[in-house]
Amino acid sequence: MKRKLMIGLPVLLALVFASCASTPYVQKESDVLKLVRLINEGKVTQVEGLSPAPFVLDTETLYLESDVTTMWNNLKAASFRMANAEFVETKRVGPDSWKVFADTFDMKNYFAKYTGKDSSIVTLDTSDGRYFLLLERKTHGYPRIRGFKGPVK
Amino acid sequence: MKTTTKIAVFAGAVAAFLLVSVAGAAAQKANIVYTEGSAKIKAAAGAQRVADIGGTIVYGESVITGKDGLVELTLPNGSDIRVTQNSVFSYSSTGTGKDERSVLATTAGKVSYKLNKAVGKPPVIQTNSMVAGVRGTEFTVFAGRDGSVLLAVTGGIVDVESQGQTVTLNKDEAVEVTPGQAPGEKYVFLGKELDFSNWNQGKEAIFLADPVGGLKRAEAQLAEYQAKFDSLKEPLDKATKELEDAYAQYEPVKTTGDKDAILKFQIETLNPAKDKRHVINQNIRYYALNYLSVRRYVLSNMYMEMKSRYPIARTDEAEAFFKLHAEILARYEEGIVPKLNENDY
Repeated sequence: MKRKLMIGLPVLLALVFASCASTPYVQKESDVLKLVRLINEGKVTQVEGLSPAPFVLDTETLYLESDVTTMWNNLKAASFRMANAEFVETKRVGPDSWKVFADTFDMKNYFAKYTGKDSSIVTLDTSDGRYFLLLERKTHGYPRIRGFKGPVK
Repeated sequence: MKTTTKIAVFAGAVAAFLLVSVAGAAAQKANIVYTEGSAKIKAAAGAQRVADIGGTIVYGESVITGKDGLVELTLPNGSDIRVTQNSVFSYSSTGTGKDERSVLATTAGKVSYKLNKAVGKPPVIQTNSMVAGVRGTEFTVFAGRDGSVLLAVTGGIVDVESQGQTVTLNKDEAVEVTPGQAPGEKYVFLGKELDFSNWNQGKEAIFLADPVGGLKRAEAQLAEYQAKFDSLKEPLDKATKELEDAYAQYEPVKTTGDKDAILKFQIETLNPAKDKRHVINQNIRYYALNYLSVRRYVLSNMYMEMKSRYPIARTDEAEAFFKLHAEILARYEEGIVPKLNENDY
């Protein structure tokens, strides 16, 4: 009995882990708002580490890491904040999600090539308008951010 | 003995014969002989992989380096290419069969070339606003984020041509080309390597002082590609009609069963008609891909610079910039995208 348990437990754990890995990741409101706080506090180094290239900014794709860094530095210098951000919803990326950012060839192909089952579009309302964040599974306690669009009035 | 190299600036002026094959089946591999820091290879289909020593890149692939990245490549003919940090280097080919030539494109950042003249056809050197045919020389291409190009020669002689004007560069001489303009005055850079970072920051400062002007200069470059692209539509229609006619004439020849007559018709009529249409179609794609490159690496950077400086409140100048940017993107979607495919992204 004990021997069966010893063999069965690792198999069970492996199945549980495999199941977790294949389950699409769902963004939690608390994690998203934590990321927003990081952005609003201008913690560029941390935010940059969560922002892999290629990165989507509205209709555009930034291919170079240095461009993503420049973007966050400039935003900080411009005192950018997602003021009074409220979590509206999160949706897993689907076949037409690219249209949220732009109904273009580039965006269609970006989503086809650089998003997956762990990618979600999170909608936030702020004092300045609505934002759409393209987020992925979290790392170091924060969601990775692959792009954003907004504010959209 | 001096080595003379001819460089023709602006694809539109010189490259009507170019055929670009980004997914060449017989692609020559470039070997990755050294890497440092963050560096990735972007495949034609869009997937990215880490650039590793001992790896290769093939036609249709790009090297993208990060802030601390460096990649050194060796081509099959022994030529060396050094892709420095924050740069994008794309590897493709032009022409087919015995006319095939490698296309070495610097689309962002700084790439140095030490080209071996001894073996093979000379490659085409390309940037967002320049095409060059070179052989046996050493030089560095600096591709500014505003679409400008600085070319510095460290070995041999280079003729730089743009808008019908030619500038001859000797060793330790450099010249700058602004999109849509003739080459500037050449100058000497004795004793030390040019500082690309300062040059690029200067370009950025010029852009930020007049963002609409900067965007208009890039627009002029795009308009040149668009004009070349459009000028080929009528020849393409004509070649398509000729090919259709050739096929129509071919049907009765085939039904005769006369193998000699069939072969003769194929060689003298059908195949030339096919080749003619193929060449025109490839030229159209060549200009479409040049347009895509400027749109991807120049316009996107300009947009980022403006959006991140004016994320919410916008000045009138910023508004004018975003309006023109949107107009250019609309033209790209309507006029250029139909000639692109998903592997071009």
